[in-house]
Amino acid sequence: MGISVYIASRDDRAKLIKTILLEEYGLEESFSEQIYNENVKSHFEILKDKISFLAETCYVDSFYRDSYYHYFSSKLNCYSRDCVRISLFDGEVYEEDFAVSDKYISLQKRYRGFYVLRPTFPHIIGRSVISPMALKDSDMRICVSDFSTTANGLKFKICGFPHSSQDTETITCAETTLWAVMEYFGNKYPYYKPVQPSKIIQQLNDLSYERQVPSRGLAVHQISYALKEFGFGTRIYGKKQYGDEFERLLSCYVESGIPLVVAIQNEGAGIGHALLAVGRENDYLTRFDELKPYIIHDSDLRQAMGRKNIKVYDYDSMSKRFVFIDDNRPVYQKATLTRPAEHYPTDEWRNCTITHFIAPLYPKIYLEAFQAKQYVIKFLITGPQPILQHSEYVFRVFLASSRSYKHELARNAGVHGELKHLMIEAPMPKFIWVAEISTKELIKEGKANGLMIVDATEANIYHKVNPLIMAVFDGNLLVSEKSSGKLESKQLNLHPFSIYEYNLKSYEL
Amino acid sequence: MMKKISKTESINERLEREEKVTTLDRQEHIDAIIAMNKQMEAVRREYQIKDTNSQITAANVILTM
Repeated sequence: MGISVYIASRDDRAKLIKTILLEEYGLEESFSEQIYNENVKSHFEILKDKISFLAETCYVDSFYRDSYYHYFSSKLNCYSRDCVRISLFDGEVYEEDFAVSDKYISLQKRYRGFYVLRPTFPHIIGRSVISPMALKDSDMRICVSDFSTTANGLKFKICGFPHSSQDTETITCAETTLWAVMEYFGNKYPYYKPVQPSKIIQQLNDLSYERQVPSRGLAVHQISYALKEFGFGTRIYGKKQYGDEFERLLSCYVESGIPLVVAIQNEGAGIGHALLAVGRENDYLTRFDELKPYIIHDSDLRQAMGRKNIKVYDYDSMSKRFVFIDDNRPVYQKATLTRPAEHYPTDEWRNCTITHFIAPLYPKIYLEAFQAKQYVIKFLITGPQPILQHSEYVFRVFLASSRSYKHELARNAGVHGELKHLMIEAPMPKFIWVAEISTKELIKEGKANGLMIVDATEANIYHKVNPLIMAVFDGNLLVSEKSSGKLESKQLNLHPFSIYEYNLKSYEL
Repeated sequence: MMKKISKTESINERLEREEKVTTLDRQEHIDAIIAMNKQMEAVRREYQIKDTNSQITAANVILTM
């Protein structure tokens, strides 16, 4: 049997899915209708009206095939091996477009990603990569990776974050989340490899006392363990342990371009769910007037700030909506951290709160966010050359790869003049913590006037000024001489510069 | 033709020449660094406790839905 190809415009989306379920999988009409309404429709409703669909049958999806060969094929009931792939294009597409070489570039420009429909009824939405440009609400800044695919014989590339719904048997929310993290990192960096469900199950064997399929979910620490085994230097953060710092740490990692596994729970309703925080809404700088001063728990530091009349604002305290990848919901859901399931239809779900998050860090990032942020603030307020008195500062701390940071620096995106040369020529580890120091007014323009660069590979934070690579504020450049450990101050002015926003890719309406 | 294009050395030499470089090694600087190191040691201990407790509680949250 050959591959059947269907093209459908917006108005025929429902008909397309029902026809495929009817003709390709032999489902009854009423069941097809039910599946479309309950499991597919919501995914299509978030798409722009002008998106058109191209569906191909007999699609071999490695993600589903893995579940099929390791689980579904061993059942009495017959499951098809094949999936259907639905490719999305901005605007109308015609059969002839794929046969004329001149149209290829236009098709690539209008390509917006794909959904895989798998025969695990009714949970049929499988692996998908959708560009935010396909959405009605595309105002977001998120982690994305490039994926290569094909549609009707032509090769295409798409930029997005991987998503899949759970099939509830081989993959529940926990496994889907693990798969999506690895799919993202595996496609983005050669250091990591994408993993299939059977590999996830195999990896968790050592931590399990019972069989793992059909899946009954995973505990938070099991997800962290699996990620560690897949090559990450994972860190777990608990809401109860970190208190009001918890959400700021989560924000800091998201701002660093690291997708986080987020655990939400409504204990009373018996709900525990895993999802991914992959970005945030695009522009919220105008809300900076509402920002409250950073509450310092350390009494020494609080006293020092009182004496010097310094007020500090943490960029991560800004209230904003984050972008989540949730396997129960359509891709790229926006919600606040206080109500991460606000887009769910029932109160039981909407009352879920975040209990933990897991940061899958590069294994050689030895200095994590809590200590890095504390180091920055203590250095600025109580260090050997503290920041000027009687002032208000906004500080923004994030991780960046030194390669990307220097790349953008060299392209004139940030600091200018002699300091730019000093920064580009400074030896740095693969990952650095960057602290941009600004004012409430400057940050609204997306600018800062001070900077600290901290070594993310230096875990010894309590010896001399060990992790400091350089700091520039109040007309001075502070550099630590690595050989002697001495700190030098050089008079060098830093003019306001654009803040670094290249950890996340920006999409606009 | 070969040309050295790095500028760090020449910038540092100019700053030295113009007496714009100070080593922060006076007693007040050393005292500030020692005090900061003590605070950071406390931060490290605080982090270790929070981290261990986060791991313990993480074992009790089951994600199934």
